Amino acid sequence: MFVAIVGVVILGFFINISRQQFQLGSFKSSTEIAATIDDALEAFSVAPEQADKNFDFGRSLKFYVNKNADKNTNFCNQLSVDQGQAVTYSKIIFAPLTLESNSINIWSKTWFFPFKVGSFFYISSPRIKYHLVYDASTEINVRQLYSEIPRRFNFELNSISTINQALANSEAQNFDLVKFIFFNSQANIAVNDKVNTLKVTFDPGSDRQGTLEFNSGPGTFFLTKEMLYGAIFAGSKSSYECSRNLALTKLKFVAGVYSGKVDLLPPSNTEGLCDKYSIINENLRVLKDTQITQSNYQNIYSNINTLTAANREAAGSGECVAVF
Amino acid sequence: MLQFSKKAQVELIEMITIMVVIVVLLLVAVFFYFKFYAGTITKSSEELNQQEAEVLLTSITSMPELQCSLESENKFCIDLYKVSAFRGLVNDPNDQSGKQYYSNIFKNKGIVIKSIYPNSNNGECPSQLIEYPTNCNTWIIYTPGKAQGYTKKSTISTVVSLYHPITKQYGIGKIVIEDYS
Repeated sequence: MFVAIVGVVILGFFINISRQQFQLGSFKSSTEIAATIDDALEAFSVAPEQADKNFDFGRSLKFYVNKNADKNTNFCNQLSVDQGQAVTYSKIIFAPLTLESNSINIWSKTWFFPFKVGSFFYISSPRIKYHLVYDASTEINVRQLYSEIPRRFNFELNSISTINQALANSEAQNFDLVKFIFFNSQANIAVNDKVNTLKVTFDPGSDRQGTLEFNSGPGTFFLTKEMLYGAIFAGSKSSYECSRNLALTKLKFVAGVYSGKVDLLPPSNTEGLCDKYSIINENLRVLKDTQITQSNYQNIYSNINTLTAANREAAGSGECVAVF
Repeated sequence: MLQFSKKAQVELIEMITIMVVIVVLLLVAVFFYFKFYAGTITKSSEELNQQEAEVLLTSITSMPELQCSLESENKFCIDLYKVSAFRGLVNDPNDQSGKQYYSNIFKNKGIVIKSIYPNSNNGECPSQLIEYPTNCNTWIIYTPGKAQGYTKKSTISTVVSLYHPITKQYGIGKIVIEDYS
């Protein structure tokens, strides 16, 4: 009896150690994959304009991006794989909240506003389907957007007249997630775990800025085409805003560097005094110091246009040098 | 009253002793196994750290905070005025936000830019570039908090082209990543 009890205790001890060892191994492997993806994205950022690639892991993995951002913004910008530790990244990543696949597709695009600010990374899997849905007023814009998306992503271009609930139901059976992106006009599609919608409304006269409604929820804004692509790939409004705010923070710092550069530039050279630097710096400081929100985002383009024109004039004059 | 024979008592003591010895041996084995496993985790962590340093070295030259740009066209060189401005932003004593933001990117790695050609005196450059290249050749961009009291430091570097936007002249320099662990 005594021997049996001792035997069971020893056996239990070793089974527990083996179980913990297995969990630790899986945790280590998942954390290594998350860190490697983070490094791969860093390497991607070297691409001059854009790049895309498929990463095949040879086994099914679950990726989580901004998994708990809906509950708390402290969980913004976190990537984790399976049960591994979340890696906090400083890259601007737009991806569904959960990706379960053997492979992921990554597309990077450089964001200029008006100077290079950084790279946006869009991540998806072959098991997620996107429908870009245009109406008569948006067909040209949407075709243009569609033409820029790498073919390795699962995108389809549709007229709004072809979209209905039956299509959504049938696609939901074949994919982990189906996302309908409506431009200006929205069809009546029921949203659930496997079917999501995004309504994009361009501001009047603009093809690059406007507002977004995720699953018919409250609106948010986008400033450029790169941000619009971000909203298309993002898993939720909160996840999109995490990444967009990271991009706007980066913009502040890069504008700060350019503003610092203007402060260091000598105001005059052998050909005379440069009068463009003060205009450039004034507008750089607006980008650096302004908190861009839903209520003021439409005004930011007047600064961008002034800044771009002043920099172009500085480049063409003998008294100044181009700042960016 | 239950009575044990002397032989049975001896056998029981023998059995307990054997079991104690087996348990001790197994515990020693488990201890060494975990020590070995902890070593492999440390090694993996060092490898990841090394990989991070190499990736950072490749990507840092294309960071918009440092890279040359002319009318929004980016060139493969480092703008020395941006270097000075970026150093000021990251090390601003009145505003820690820059240091905080870039510490998430650079982590435990120090970033230093050194001018190799034209030849100049050793020393850190002041914020203004007026005296460059005669009086200085080094810009310490970022030093991690871990740099004080680190146990191990390794460095990797790559050659870069340094651009002076006023004189429009190019020099040769190197970016050094100092990995503190």
